[in-house]
Amino acid sequence: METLWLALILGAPILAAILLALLRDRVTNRAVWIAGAAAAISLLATIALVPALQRGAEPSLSVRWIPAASISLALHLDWLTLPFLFTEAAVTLVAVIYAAGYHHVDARTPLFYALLMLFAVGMSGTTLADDLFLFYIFWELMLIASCILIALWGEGERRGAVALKYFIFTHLGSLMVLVGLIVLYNATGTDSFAALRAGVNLAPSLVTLVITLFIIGFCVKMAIFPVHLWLPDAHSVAPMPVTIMLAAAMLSMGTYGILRFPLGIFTAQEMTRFAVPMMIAGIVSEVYGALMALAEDDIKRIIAYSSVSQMGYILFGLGTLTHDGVAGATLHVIYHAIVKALLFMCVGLVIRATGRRRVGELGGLGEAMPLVAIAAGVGVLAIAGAPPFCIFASEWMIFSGGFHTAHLSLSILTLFGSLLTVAYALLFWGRIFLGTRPEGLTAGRLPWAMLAPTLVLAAFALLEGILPATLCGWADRALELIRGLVQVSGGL
Amino acid sequence: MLTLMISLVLIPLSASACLLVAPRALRPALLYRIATGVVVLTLVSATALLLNVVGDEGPPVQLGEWLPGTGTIEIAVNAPKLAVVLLTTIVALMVLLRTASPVSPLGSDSRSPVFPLAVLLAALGATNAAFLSEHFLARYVALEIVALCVPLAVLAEWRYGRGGSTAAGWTSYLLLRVGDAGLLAAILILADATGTLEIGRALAAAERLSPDLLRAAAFCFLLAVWVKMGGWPFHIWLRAGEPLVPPSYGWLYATAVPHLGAYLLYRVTPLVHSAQEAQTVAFWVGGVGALLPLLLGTHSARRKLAHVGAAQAGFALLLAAAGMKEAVWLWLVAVPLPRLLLFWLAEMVQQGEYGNRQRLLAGLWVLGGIALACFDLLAVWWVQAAGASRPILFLAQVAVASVVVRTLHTAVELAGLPRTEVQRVSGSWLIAACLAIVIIAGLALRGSLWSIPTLQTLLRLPPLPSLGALLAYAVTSPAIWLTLLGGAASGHLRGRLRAPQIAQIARSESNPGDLRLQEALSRIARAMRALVEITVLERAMSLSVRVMESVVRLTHRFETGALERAVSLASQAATTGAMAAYRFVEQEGLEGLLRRLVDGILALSRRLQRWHTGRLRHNLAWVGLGLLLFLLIIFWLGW
Repeated sequence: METLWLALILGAPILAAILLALLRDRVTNRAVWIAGAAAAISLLATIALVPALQRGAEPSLSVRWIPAASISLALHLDWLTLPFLFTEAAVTLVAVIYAAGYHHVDARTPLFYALLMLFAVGMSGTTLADDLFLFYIFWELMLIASCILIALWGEGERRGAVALKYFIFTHLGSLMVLVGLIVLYNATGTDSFAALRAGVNLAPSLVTLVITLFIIGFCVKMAIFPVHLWLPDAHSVAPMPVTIMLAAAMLSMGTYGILRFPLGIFTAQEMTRFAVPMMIAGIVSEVYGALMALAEDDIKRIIAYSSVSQMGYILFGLGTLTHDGVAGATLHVIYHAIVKALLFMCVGLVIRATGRRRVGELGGLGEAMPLVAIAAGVGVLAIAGAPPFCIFASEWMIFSGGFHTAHLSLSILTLFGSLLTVAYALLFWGRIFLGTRPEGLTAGRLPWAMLAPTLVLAAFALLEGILPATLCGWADRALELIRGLVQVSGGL
Repeated sequence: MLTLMISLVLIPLSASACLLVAPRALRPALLYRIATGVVVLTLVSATALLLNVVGDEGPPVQLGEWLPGTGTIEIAVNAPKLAVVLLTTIVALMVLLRTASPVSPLGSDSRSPVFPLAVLLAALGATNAAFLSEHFLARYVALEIVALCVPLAVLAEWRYGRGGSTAAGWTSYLLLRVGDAGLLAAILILADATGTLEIGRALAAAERLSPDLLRAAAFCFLLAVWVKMGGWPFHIWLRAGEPLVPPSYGWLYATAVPHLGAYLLYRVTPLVHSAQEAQTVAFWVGGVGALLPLLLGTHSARRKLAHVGAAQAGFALLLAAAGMKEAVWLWLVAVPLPRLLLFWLAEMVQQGEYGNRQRLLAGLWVLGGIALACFDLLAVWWVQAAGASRPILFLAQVAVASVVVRTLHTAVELAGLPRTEVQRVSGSWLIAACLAIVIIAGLALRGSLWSIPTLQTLLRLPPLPSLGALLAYAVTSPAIWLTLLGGAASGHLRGRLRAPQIAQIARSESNPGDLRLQEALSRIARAMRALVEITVLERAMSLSVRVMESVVRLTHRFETGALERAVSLASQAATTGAMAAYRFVEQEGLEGLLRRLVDGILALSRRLQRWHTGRLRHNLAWVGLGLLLFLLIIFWLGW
């Protein structure tokens, strides 16, 4: 039964993508239902496997694929996979529901949803893969599907150029990851993750090279400064459901990569020399992204830059190499996904209702769109790390991890740097929903298909902030698979 | 016991939630009554708890672990803690009673106060949670929720067209978050070093910290405390609340948040005292912070109170720097009621609710101000006994005298106010009078608090001087005398300079077109008389008064101009800097670099491509070059 659920996580969206691609004209109006059903099945299958993990079982599935190269189609679910898989599946479902209200149905609609499903498969497959080769295939599938979605359905004339830029940047990152994977494969003679988790024996210089390649490669996906340049353009040009998936789910794949490879394979001793550079890069990204969000005028790009900043927190947490820091970073991935999806949805609702996206052209919308104002208010307070909203818990753990290291000044710096997040978040909300409404600004009716998931996410952001224990527990269990953690004596 | 403890938090929080979903048709008076009832219930719970635990620490109640790995959250009660809870709730009740009065313009306001009241009740629940919690995480969360209520109070009233600018509300929140960042840093430093988030244990273990860590934690705590108490220059966060209704300003802004800061100071006093550098900084910040706000000139009654509050924060910090934890607790208990009295009087002036009772108003103002000054003097006496340096004592003594001078000046202004058309003076007069009696009784029975054996055991209260000794201390302090003399002269001369004839001359000078010869001669004569009346000594005094007034104007301008401008400039600088960075780094720098790199690669590719597809000799040259390169590589590899 567990194998069936595991197969369904990938099988349902793959089947939906095939159906949508083959029966294009016949399912135009039902495309969203097919995609929604597949996304729901995928999410349900993920949740259905949680009891198995709690029992101590690790569902897996392996089929020999290319025997000559010992490559198999191996899927495996463990505690490290679960938070990322759950985030990706939930975000996909929310994005598809949102797309029902956002996307105008036309002849290309089935293809849109088919690509959306393939994008989801790429992300699920990346997290479930138990094989280097398979991991890279899903990693690239994620890129190709999202790139086509931006190129074909992106907003504005620049979508082609933006898609190309997105492809070049992330592909360069992927190539670094590929080199790292090949080195690992050569060193161990196997492409199985299980063998890699047991540890690899590499020359010290090679260890440094591989960790560097992995960290830089995955940082490109995380959009850490200065390799973040693809993100603001891609997020602002992509259609909103794709933006939601890019920001809320795909960015987390970089974190997954760092946790699975450098931190999951190499020991704390080997990772220690990378701790401070990672923490510094995290702080720079945190502050820089927040400053850019303050400077930006386009509401979609403000939230896009906020992702750069938030990924900075995550990288800082990972760089601490402490239990609290890494668990906080893992938790932050999930919470950031919830909040970022929520904020992009609110932005989409504002753009849909007013037809405007420049901050200077907006204002006073609180009266006209009270539900959206409340949902966005929850989003900005959450991203500002205010309790009782969800991001507070993960930020607390990240900061706590920082203070467990010997680098007190870096920890204090990142803590005070978070005030910039408060500033841009409040400014963003205040300038859209408060003040006087500019002349000619009207707010049209909003479809419930867009509003409902937004409100659900807002409620979830609050609920998860009040009751964070379950997801904290998941993040905690994920750390059992991490080898690169430093043992802290005075930990909490 | 557990039920009572939880009810202190849950009753106001659930009432706040109920108010939010209550039918909009409910009359404002009824809403005020509901809120008042909830606060009374909370007060009853606090009183019942206090009666239960006097003389004995209540057993801590474990609520369970909220965030995995952070330990079990405990709440505990003891007499000092409950006294502060009780007092904060009493202030909330009094402010509500005053506002709900049917005669009060706000009580009869037809606009629904549902949101301000919901925010107040939520803040009351969170404030009580912060006081009761014995776990740093729970206290931090509670403090953050109270901080969040600060801009929400502005928003709640902004919705009805009342209240201040929302931008000011956000500024308040951002400033409070600066303090919270300091608090979080301090908590995490302590937690890392001691391995616990349980407040008592962590603070007890803090004494064994390395000097560096101790210093860092103490400075971070000081920042948190100073921001929350509204010490100078962080008192500007109080500004956003000035236009709000009394429940929001009088309780949330002026009482709850500063109280939370002061309570935090009470808990961390030993830590601040034991970190030498932090202690020195606390002494200086306290001394300067006590004096500087009193030099700021303003005509707004609420702002005057904000300045007085900021000065009081300075005295509290002085006590903490002297290591007098119990005196800080006394500050918490003694200062709110006189401040509340002053706040009410200011409200009455603002609303014109006093009819022809200007002198009573002025008298009560003097009573409140002198009560504050008495406690401040006591604080300075203790600080001197603790061995503070002379310059700090001088600053503090000048500050005490400035409180008196400022009180008297304001009282004189109040006594000269024009009569207002009020048919019936609201019941708040009664409450104000009760309060005055309480203060007078408190002053008269000054020694009785020390005689309660349980409090003595629990608090180890510092020795109290006799009234005579305190008076002798004040009389023999040159700084106090000089300031009082300067203040009296300034008040006298300000009155003289604002005499009708001079004002008349000033007015007539502004309309030269209306002058006739006879009138002009008469005015010149009056002006001459006025000038002659002012003797050389008075002229010298007037010069000094003018200098003082200029200083006050300057500090006022500094506060309203430079300080606010500094904040706005800082935000503008951040935005402009960010924009410049965006332009140079994102658009021109990194992207430009990338574009140039791509352009370079493309140019090279095109050139290479031309070699491939161009003329035959180019192609042949390319083939030759390619072969040569290949051979070179092979030889280089050692084949």
